[in-house]
Amino acid sequence: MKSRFWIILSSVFAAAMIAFGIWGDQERMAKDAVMIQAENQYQQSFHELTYYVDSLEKSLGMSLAMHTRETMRPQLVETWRLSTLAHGAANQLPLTLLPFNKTNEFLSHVGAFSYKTGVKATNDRPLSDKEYASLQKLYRESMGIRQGLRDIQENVMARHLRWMDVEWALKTKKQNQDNQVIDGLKQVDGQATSYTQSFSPENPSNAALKKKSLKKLEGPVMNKKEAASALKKWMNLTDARTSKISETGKGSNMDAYEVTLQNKDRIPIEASVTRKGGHVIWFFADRPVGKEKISLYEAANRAGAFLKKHGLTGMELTKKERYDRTAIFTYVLKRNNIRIYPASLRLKVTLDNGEVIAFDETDYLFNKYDQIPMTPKLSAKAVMKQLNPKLVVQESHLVVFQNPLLQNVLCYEFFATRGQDTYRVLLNAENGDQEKVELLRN
Amino acid sequence: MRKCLTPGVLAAMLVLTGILPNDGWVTAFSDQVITQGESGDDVIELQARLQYIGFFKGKIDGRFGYGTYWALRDFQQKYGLNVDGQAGDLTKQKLVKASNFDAAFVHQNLEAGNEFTYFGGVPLDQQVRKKTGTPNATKENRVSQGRYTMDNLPQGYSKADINLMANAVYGEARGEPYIGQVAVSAVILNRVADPRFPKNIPDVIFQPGAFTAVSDGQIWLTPNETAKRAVLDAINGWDPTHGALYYFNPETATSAWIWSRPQIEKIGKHIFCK
Repeated sequence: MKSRFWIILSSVFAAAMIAFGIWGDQERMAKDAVMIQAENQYQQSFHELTYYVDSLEKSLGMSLAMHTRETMRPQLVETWRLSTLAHGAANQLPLTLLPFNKTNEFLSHVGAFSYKTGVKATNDRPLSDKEYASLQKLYRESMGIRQGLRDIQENVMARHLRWMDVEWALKTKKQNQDNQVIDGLKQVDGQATSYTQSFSPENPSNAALKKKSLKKLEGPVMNKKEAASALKKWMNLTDARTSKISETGKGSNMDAYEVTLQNKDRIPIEASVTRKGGHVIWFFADRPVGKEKISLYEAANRAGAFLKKHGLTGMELTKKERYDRTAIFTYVLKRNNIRIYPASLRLKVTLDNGEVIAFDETDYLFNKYDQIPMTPKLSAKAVMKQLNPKLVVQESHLVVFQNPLLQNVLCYEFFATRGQDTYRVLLNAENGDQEKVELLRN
Repeated sequence: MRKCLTPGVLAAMLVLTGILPNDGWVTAFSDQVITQGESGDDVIELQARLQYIGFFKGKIDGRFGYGTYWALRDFQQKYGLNVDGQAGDLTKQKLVKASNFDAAFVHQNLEAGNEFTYFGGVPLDQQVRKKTGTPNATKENRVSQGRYTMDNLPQGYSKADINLMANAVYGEARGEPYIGQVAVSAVILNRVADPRFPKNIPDVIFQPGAFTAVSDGQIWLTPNETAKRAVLDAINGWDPTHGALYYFNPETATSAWIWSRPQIEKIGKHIFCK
């Protein structure tokens, strides 16, 4: 009796063990399959990256041998295409937290340069000395990067290194220890640095996030208390309580205080105030918005009154948008009847009682827009010849536009229609180049 | 302009328009000035009336976009009004006089999601193409509290972009105060603008190792309205981080590298840095 019980129990146990074993093995196989697939994807991206950088170097080298822009153009377009592909491949690698960034930056410079000189430029003159020097520099740099990537590739293949391990190393604390792939990439990165630093003045697109620190502010430097009271006065909330105030750290482009105000109605108002001058950079409060009572038109009037009250005059309302029960208005500075797009500010107004619940003047405060010739070289009529004859121009203005290279250019802005579609076309008022075409949402 | 119209004159005009053959429908324009960017019933009436007299050829959808704007300006020009592209009292009166508006027809078709036009002089039954399949009951077309709720999108962004960002923000920062959620949204946008990162929103979000919510699958939780609002605020220009590219939670961050980044500020639980 007893032994029979034991036989049954042990056979059940054995069966369970076998089933568990089979299940576990299947799980492991499934997991391996997923791991291998992920690893293969990384491998593919990396090999693609090396291939594209290889071709990029060749392409840059070939363009150096050509003289007129017309003959060079196909090669520059090819370079542009390759830089985009390489950039895409590089961004699929698990490298966010590595200083591999600089290589990406290099690729983006190649892209910007080849686009500007090969795709966008409409004239046929040969490259200027400066442009040629840039091209040479890019070529030299590409050789270094290609070599570095090839070295890593060799290493990865010879030692069967896996990208999944890189990811693990990044996830755990070990990334500063020995990891062949990471070390190799750091080396490549070191090579790119020198280039990037010297490239900046001509092609300053790596300043994208620094642009806002350009303009000098007026007024005295304030301490926390002064800044908080300046804010309260500006907001007309003199009896609000400062529940938090802190200084921005050294990574910030602008020295500011971050303030949280606690009002009676218990909705916190977050704001940022510059240390110099106590200017309010932005503020916002996230409060529930009640039933809609006022129109967009009325809301725009409230926004206009708010600006007037705060001495922000000479602005033109250029964009009105509704999101649910709030409206967002964009104002642009107008000087000599020219819209200055880099100097813009935004307001958010509720449609229940017309209160301004958010405000942002980062661009207006910090963006530089002086030192632009404010008289066009070409007439609107001359520039308009560049437009497609099928477009019907409805409105035109003179504007200052900040292009992707962060240069301010004087442009003619045309609002034109074709059938039911509305386009905004910006044509350079100095040389007629097309700066931007936008299909506006209807 | 509107000030010089006495209530008496206004009333007389209302009576006059009531007498006109309007299929029994008296003008429903509210007193508000209708301006570009507006949406709702007034815009529907405006578009329908402009279409009736041939100025507006686009879709009657209750959104005052550029198509409506140019049509209204055309109308103002032809009728000797001040060309400002917004429908104030005078413009509305002229428009009501010059056109017809069959509210029942227009609203019925809008609700049913039919494709339709409202040109004057064409029999109404020839202007409707019924929507095949299930009747349209999507949020965009349903009447709520007498208004059409409409999802407007910022220029240059698709609905998919915004939904994806809302997912990421919710997965990353749902426990954070509102400003912290705007900040996370802003970091995503700052990365798109930075040459060192991918150039579009999906690639930035799915870049391997970039966001923990992607790695651990929390990005697929359903985001709430707060996360969506935060995303829209960031897209519309609010950046509480002053241009940050990274952020981390100092309590759980294991990477030594992230601590070496120049810090900007702490918002909620996250430290934002360059």
